[in-house]
Amino acid sequence: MSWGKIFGLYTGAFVLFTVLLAVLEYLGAIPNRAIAYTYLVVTIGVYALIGVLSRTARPDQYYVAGRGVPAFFNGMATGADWMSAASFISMAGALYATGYDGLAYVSGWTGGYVLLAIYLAPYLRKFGAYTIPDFLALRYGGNAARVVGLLMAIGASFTYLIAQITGVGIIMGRFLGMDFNVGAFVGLAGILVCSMLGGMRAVTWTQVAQYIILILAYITPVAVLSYRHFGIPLPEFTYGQVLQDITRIELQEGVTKLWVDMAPGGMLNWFALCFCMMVGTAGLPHILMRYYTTPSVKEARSSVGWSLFFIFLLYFTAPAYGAFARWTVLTDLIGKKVTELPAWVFRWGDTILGKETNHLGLFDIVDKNGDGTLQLTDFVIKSTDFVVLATPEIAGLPFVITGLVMAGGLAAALSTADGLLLTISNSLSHDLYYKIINPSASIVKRLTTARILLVVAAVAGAYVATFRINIIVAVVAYAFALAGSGFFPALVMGIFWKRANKQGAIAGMVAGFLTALILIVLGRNWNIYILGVREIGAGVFGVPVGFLVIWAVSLMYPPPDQQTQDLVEEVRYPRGTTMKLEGIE
Amino acid sequence: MASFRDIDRSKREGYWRETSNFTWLILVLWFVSWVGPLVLHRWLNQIVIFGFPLSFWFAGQGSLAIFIVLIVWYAIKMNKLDRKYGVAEEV
Repeated sequence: MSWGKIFGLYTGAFVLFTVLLAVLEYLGAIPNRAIAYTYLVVTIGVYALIGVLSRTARPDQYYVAGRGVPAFFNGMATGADWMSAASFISMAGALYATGYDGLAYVSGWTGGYVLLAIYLAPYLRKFGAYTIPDFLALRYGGNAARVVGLLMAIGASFTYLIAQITGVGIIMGRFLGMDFNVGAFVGLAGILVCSMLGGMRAVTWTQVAQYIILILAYITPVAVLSYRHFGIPLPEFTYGQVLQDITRIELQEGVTKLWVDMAPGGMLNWFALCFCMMVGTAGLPHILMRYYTTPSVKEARSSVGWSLFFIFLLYFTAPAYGAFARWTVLTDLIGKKVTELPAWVFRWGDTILGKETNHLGLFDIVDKNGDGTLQLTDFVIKSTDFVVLATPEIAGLPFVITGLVMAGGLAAALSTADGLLLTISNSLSHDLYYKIINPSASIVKRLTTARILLVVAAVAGAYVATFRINIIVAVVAYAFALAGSGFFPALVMGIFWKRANKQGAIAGMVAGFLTALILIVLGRNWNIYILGVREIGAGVFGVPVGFLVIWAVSLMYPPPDQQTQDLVEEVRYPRGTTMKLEGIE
Repeated sequence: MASFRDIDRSKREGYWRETSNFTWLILVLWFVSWVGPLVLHRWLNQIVIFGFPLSFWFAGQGSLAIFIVLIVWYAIKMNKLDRKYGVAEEV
């Protein structure tokens, strides 16, 4: 059976399963919490099954899925790898709150794929390494570049991983009332069953399964909302009307900064943020690694297109999501009598008119001036995550769809966590253990080490997540600035400029990374900004510094040897052999 | 082991020249597609089509669609260049 047929059947079965639960709910045969638990058990069970079926004892399967993933499915897997808990749960809410200013994320998290397509993916595929530090070591002559790459890859991936596990814990808490620590370790188990036995091969096919669930879960509620109001289930095209209404109401209410407009003087920061997210996308090792898995250079090129297409489906919908939510709050809530509050408010709100109902930490409703009517300021938002969580009920959908959203959020967090975990453990086992510590290790020993390190990294991630360190969520946003400034210049120069040498690359990686890091520390702690660019956009300085330093320092030292220059030339042409790595394939 | 030296030198140079030029072209179009609507934001947002202020629409949806078109165009054109200069992968 072809992959297309298998995943077609899988999608059909999942839809059928959701319909079946909906019927049971309609008949009153199944309580809400049981629906949520059913989703949890069934989806994680499916991921585990894929993980077990994809087990492997071959290094090329474990590290790069045998380089046999077709462009289309690698695109789906990249989509799930890429879209994290933040994209799924938080982005629409961020747009609800910020409007135009938040769109920097939407453009930024998609535009990076153009850079990936033209500068990196096809060339990295031709190069044919196992990890990003691997590429750096082969191109820049030795383990010094490998170690710098290794440290940056692990630093960026580990903070990102902790944020995903935190996301799982929060989702479990909000939908199942589970204790955060228990939720985090359930999430950990969910990640391990997918990746431990089959490495990249298992993670790839699990991510495809996770993508299908997350995209169905994301689009369904807002499509129904659109259908209900405009008779067309395509919110991406109908929300123009909604935007007009929002602007009209905002003008009535005397709002000065319209939702569809940029904050005054915000242009430079918008540019910096968007640029940073783009270059960061093209510099994050867990994404770059995915393009090692396609069968050919040609497939790598089209795979970037598929990746962006599948990511696009979600991001293209996100502005509509934010707009519909804002519209609902402005029309269904504001101006209403406090005696006529809609039902979703009681399900998701914490304190409604002085009465405690939940502890989800999403919003309160008060009546500040006591006139019995809700004003905009009477809706006190604590976390804009309420947008994605409450939309199914705002749309009047049964609880089954809320359960589906939970499954989607989990899929988004788990799939990203899988990719990150594999990046960390592969860097440690391949680059540190095999390439530096014990180059004579047997295949069995190397794979055993890889699996042990995978478990260790996962447990460490879950353990750190249980401390709920607030700074970590902020650090994830900085990972883009750091990864972009540290990796992107060295990778691009390594492919496009023969003259770039070891000294230049190491100096450039360190300089780019440190520039971003210093600006982040200065901005975060002392509000010191260059040209008023906030720390989250620090990559706008780090990236050029990285390029300049590689250029200048490379020219101060002799060019790389003939063998390396031949390597750079070889990578340009799709024809010919992939660089074999000491007979492991 | 096959090597790039098996490919005719003039073909290699021609291929890389066209590849570089095309890569620059895509880079410029990419830059314009998201920086353009940003810089012209005040002016473009006055234009409303089907309810969408244009700058908002580009930043949230239009630029994204252009990104996809650029990547697809790049893949198609590069496959053609591979064949034109005889550097395509043997399958």
